[in-house]
Amino acid sequence: MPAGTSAVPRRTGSIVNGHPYIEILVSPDGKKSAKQTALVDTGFSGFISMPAESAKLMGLQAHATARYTLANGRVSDAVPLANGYACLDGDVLVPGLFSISESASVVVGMDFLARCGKVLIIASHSVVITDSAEYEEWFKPKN
Amino acid sequence: MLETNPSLPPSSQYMAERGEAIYDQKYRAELEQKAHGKFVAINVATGDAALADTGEEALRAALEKDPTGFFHLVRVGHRAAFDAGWYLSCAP
Repeated sequence: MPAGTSAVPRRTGSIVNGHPYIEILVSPDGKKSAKQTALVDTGFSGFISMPAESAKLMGLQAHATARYTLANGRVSDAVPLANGYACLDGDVLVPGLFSISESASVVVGMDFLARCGKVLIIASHSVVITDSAEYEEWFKPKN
Repeated sequence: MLETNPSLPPSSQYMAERGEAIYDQKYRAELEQKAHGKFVAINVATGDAALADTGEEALRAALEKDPTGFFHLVRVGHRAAFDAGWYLSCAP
């Protein structure tokens, strides 16, 4: 393969105020979807956290609660949960759990990357997302 | 911030406490011996539980049993189902 080219499908995100953001699609039913800009928080073990107003507009129906371990080690109040679907913009929607929070941004966590089969590479001025399988192929021993 | 969220409906906290009480009484002793790290969705009305490897799978299984039910999600052997990360822990 010529230098500087790659067969690996890649999407790029952006760094805003030092934080990585990517474009995703979200859906309540796996059919109609809407584009959102989401902050990537690698310390968040869940799928997606959605601001309450956005969740309402999207039509998410909370049917469960859960608690979170916070960064300071304490346990959160109960947070509403809803089943939904999401993916990177351009990919196929996958199911996952949406937390409905009072935060201002849509946040994606490690469960989102795992369910979508993606690897996130964060550089100083950009974010690259690629398929896990393709990424692992890079590191296979070559004969 | 998740830690103190006055805009949450009071029922969310009640549902969580009810689910945790059911988990403590009916499931904790058994599941923490044999299902550490798995997720269990507790039906807060019936006390039924659905166990799975992920939270999403546990809730889907619970909804299949009771499509109109309300559930509390617990991760076996953990104080909370998920880790919040810095943003959800600190954002106003």
